[in-house]
Amino acid sequence: MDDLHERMNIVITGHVDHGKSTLVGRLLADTLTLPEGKLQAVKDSCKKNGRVFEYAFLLDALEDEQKQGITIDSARIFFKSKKREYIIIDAPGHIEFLRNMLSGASRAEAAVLVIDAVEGVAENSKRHGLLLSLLGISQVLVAVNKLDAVNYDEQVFERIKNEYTAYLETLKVKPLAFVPVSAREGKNITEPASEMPWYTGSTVLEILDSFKRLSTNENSFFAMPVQDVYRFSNDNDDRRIYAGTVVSGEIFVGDSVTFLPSKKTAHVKNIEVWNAPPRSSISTGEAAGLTLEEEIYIKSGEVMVKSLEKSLVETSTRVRANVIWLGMRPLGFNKTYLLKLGCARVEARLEKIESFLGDDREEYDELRRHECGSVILGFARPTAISSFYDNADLGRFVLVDGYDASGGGIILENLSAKKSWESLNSFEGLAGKDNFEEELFALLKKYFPQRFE
Amino acid sequence: MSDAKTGRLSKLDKLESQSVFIIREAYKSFKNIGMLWSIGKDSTVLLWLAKKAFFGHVPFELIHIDTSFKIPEMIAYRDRLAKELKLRLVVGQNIKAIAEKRTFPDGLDRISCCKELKTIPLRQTLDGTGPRRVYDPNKDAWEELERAEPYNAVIVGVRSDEEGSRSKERVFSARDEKNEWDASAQPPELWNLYKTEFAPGTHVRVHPLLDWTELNVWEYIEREKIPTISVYYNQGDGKRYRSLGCYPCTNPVDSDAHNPKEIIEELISGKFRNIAERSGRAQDKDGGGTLETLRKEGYM
Repeated sequence: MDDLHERMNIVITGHVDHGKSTLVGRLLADTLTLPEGKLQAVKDSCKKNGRVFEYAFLLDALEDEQKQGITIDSARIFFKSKKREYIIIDAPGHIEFLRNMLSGASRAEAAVLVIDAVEGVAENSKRHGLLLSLLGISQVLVAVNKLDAVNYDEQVFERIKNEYTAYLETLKVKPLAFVPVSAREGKNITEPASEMPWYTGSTVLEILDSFKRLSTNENSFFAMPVQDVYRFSNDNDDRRIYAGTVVSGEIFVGDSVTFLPSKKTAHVKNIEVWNAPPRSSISTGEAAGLTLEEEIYIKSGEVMVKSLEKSLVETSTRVRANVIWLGMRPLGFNKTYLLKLGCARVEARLEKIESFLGDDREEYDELRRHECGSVILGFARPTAISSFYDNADLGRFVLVDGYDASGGGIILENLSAKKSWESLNSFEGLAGKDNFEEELFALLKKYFPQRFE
Repeated sequence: MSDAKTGRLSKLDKLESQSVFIIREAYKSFKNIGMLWSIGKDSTVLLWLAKKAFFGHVPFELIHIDTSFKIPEMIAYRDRLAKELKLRLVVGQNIKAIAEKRTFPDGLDRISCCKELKTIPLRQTLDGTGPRRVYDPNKDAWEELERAEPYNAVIVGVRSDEEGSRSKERVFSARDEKNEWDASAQPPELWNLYKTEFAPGTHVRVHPLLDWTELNVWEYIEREKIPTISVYYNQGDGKRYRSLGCYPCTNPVDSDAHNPKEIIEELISGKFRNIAERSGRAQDKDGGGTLETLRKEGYM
């Protein structure tokens, strides 16, 4: 029953036409994961339309994709090896569809980066390496593809391997393996290739199977962002349920908890379930709901931690972060964005662009579409965060410009001790004054008791 | 429920948690939200997940589009479950098209029939212009509504593994004012920080089951003992439905599976290991891209 427990999300990335979809098509065909008759149906359709069959046709499902022979949006493809179940995310390589590549990659635990042996390392190969490092994906397999087109020449493979390794080193990304392959001919994908006796390493499939599941946060400190607070009193339900998904650690009934940033404390009364046996604890990854001994007013977005545990969750109004910008309008100064982090929603501003990543531009006046930078962001009110490396779920965010999800990033450092833009504007005087909120709550409770009982 | 030995959540636990998170996020983000319930296994799993997310409550309406050509057991099962689980159920229908016999059994082609009996009433039910029959579980009674408030969003049980265009969906997927989908211009969707900000008038489809496979759905039904409709199982004639739709266009498959456990075996190592689920559905076979075309116009 091992396979019931194992599933891994993998993203296939690389420059346009370097052969990502072909590689995935091959994996599906060679492991017999395709529905019966699918391979033959696509081959027949190619014959009828006078086209040369390509394994990529097995994947590019949208009409425009088939017409233009490119991948437009990332597809989820389900695939099974002897070891486990995979969702392969076939991400588009065209720069125009970078947002789709990122969407796919943000769901992945590991990546296969495809480089064309004929064309060599493209700018997009570098960009994708950079983005993987920005997303914190550390398990990377680099497949050097189309070796059949260079007579399975070891020198070509070695040159690309050395060049790309040197580049990845600048990003502190260490690829787990380089594999010379021909996706079209099925060499070194699931079977070793006799054409490349000089390569003694594993096949792509063997390396995928050797990828480790990400270390989860069970043994880390406890943290649960509050997604919502429910009170379904219409249906004669008295419970006030604090709902959220545990992002790290474990908590038990009876534990004393603190909410950040409000610093309110309470004790866990009950772990609520429907149609399941009673629970005494909840742990990492569970979408949970609990009631508290002391009914307190908590806003969604606050983070619940254990009162007696040293947790790496801090309240912050100012952070240093790496950002990738995808918006049509540039990320600029003097403008307010909505920052989403955990379950919190807070207004944020760009205070400084410290450097451009993977680029040496001189002026630091804005981040344009598809650019990455190391920046300082200020928040309109204190927000509970972690650095990405302490807790990925509380250390990454999305920036929304108007109605558009326009950028994403990871928090490198809490700069809260330093002066923030928040202290320079009208929020001063209210922010950080816990008493005000408590007193207001007491008054509300006094005059509208039925809403709180 | 984590494994006592490793502390890790199982694959099904993870899928459940992820879907519950999405359903809660959707409920929080939209003023008037509903959940589509086609009576099939996927949307019934979705309904179950909603009960889990809200601890026994379903704080929104369930919407069913009745083509009038549904397998009769489906309607009986629907009404029974609505009563048992106390669901507020909204039924939409293109009464005019049915009365004027603009349907496949009356000579229309399949794709146009899907449009008349599914896409159009779905659009009209969602935007509030179409008539609705509403079941009120508290009164245990049905009422007829001429018009109603539009839904800003609906939760839908589509899965990526069903079909190509569904494999490319976002979890929160916007439709324009005509309910159309532009698959090539979808916004980024990073981690679980879903895009829930939309201009007024945008209609949103929320997809909590994208990462589930047909097998996962059956594994979950088996684990949770979710009540499912009898036509999924062999009742003694050696046939069962693998995917439900309208009876003129959906065929049962030959199968000996009598229960979820036997269906799981059939999918893992048995005769359906390599056969696509929707192979019993005629509408998918009328040339390439037809389901995508339907979906661009607002079909599920």
